[in-house]
Amino acid sequence: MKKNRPVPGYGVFAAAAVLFVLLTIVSLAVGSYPLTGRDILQSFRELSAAEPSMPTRVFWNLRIPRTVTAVLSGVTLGLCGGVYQMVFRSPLASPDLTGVASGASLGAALAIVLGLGSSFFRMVAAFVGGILALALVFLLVRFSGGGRVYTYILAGIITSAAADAGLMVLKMLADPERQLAAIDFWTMGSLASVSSAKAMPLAILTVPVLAVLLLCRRPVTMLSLGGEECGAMGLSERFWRAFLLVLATLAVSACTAVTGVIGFAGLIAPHIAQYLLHRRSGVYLCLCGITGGILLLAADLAARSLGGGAELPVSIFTVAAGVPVLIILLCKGRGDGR
Amino acid sequence: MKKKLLLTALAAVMLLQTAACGKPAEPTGPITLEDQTGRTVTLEEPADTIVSCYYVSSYAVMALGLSERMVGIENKADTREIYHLASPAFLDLPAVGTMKESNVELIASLEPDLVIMPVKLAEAAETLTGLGLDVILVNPENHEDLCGMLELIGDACGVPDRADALISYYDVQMDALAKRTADGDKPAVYMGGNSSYLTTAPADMYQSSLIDLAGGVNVGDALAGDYWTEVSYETILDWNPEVIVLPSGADYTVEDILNDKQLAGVAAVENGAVYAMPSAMEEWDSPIPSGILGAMWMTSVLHPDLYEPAAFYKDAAEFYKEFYGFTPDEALLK
Repeated sequence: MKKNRPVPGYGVFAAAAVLFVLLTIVSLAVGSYPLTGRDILQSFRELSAAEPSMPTRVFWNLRIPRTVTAVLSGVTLGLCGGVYQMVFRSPLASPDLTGVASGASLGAALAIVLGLGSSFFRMVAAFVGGILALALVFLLVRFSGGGRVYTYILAGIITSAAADAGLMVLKMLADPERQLAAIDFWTMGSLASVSSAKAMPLAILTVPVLAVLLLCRRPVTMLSLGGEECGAMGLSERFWRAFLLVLATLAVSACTAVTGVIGFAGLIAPHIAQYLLHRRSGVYLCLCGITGGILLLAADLAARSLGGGAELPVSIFTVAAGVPVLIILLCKGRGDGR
Repeated sequence: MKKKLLLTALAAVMLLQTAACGKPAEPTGPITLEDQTGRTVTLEEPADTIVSCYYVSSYAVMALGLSERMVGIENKADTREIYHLASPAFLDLPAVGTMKESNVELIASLEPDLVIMPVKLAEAAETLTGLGLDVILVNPENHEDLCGMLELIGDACGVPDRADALISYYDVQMDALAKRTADGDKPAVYMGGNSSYLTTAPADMYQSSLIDLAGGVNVGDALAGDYWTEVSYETILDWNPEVIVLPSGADYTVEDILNDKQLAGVAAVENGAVYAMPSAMEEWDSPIPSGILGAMWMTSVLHPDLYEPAAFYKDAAEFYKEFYGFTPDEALLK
């Protein structure tokens, strides 16, 4: 049936890709430190210089890692959001479904309250928190003897609630002048402190995971059609759901550990992608990733440009963009449960 | 010379008042006050027993020589080093809550003549007022409000002269600092926040006024706001401060900044001009009664030729002796 129709969406995909590339270039060019086009060209010439100039150091050590982090985090959140919504066959599914953001927040807050100091340790603690949240979800699913979609969703809600309760306890214990402010900053998301030391491990973790997820488009599509379709194709629904969930959560945990919690990007990007493509197949997952990347690049540009030198929380912009988009989609009847 | 005479006179007044403050207040008739939120509070007589729910007001009670009147204190009193040194009895008082929550029933059970609370606890203050307790709300967010709070507590407890003496000390020192730094260079100063050095003090924050008083220019004045504001590495590199100061409550160290490769090109880092404000006793970068020492310390750091560190240590030790009743070791002032 579909073979007879012109393949829809490639034009949309190309347009989104162009916007994505443009925003990436703008992200490399705009920042608090004034870098001219000449500075940027010079920084390529000075790439292997023993003592590079300050503009060169800013470009390679700060501007590129920040842009790379925005791209990787946005693509990861968007693509994983798409995977979640397909695997769970729920338009409400998002990377936080497994409590990864809550678990990561709890880990970061614990590091802050225990005074474990360095931002690198905070990043590690957040990552461990996110992974532990996922482990708890699997444990609950196993104990419940289920394995159906709603079992995962319920286990995720329970895990999120438990982590949020722990976070509240830590906030109560936190010194309001220091630790509480640090926790609040972290839970609103920011790319201000990103350097190559943070961007590198993020890239090492997320790039292979994103590649595998894209290679697994077929099982993702089968899962979105239901258990019977999977069985007919000889796929183990339970295995593939768990496998994809682990991969997606691993990548999202890595992003959250570096940037803090970024609200709504993982939920909204798949909806925009579906609205543009009118389907959840073909280039859908790629478009989810690109849409997430566009969202985060734009939000980070706003966060670093609109504060008059101050860094604003990225989540302000992702949520501000997400709410009207969701309302529009709701009004257009797109939240139809697919 | 003039300054010395004035300080000696102040010391004499303080000595007499300290002797008076240890005793219960003399009844003088009703005292009507307006607290820092505009609420009117009438005390039948100077307060003899006090509950302080906020460390800044507890510090004020100490600096006003009223420690013996305290019957309840904020949580985590044992983490405040100054209590160990100046008022160890504070450590045994009932803990009545935090800046976020207060234990209203416990405060009521202590039956204090006066409860001092931060404005954040306005709702609890109304509850306590409803129970018949006298509560004043304080909001010492800057130097003027700090002085206002000292006057308020001084009036409520029948020791207005003591508050006046403390405020006169500030005036003398601020004049001296202004004269010292009037004509010299004003280095560009970046002040890191408590939780991270990627947050800084914007124009309307108390810490910015400290830098100004100490003869520096706060690079964070480019930002609007009155609370620690997040900035990026790029912003710091663009500002290129000559001096970086860590606040007393910093969760990081001078070495963390010096070893951060992203800050390697900043003038302050290249010249090793990164200093941590002393933190062994109090948070001098906050509007607390000893906050003037923060400006004095910073002057000795920014302009050691105009105000030597040794002179600062001596002045700071005298301050604690006069107002807190003990002489700290020099190591505590570094």
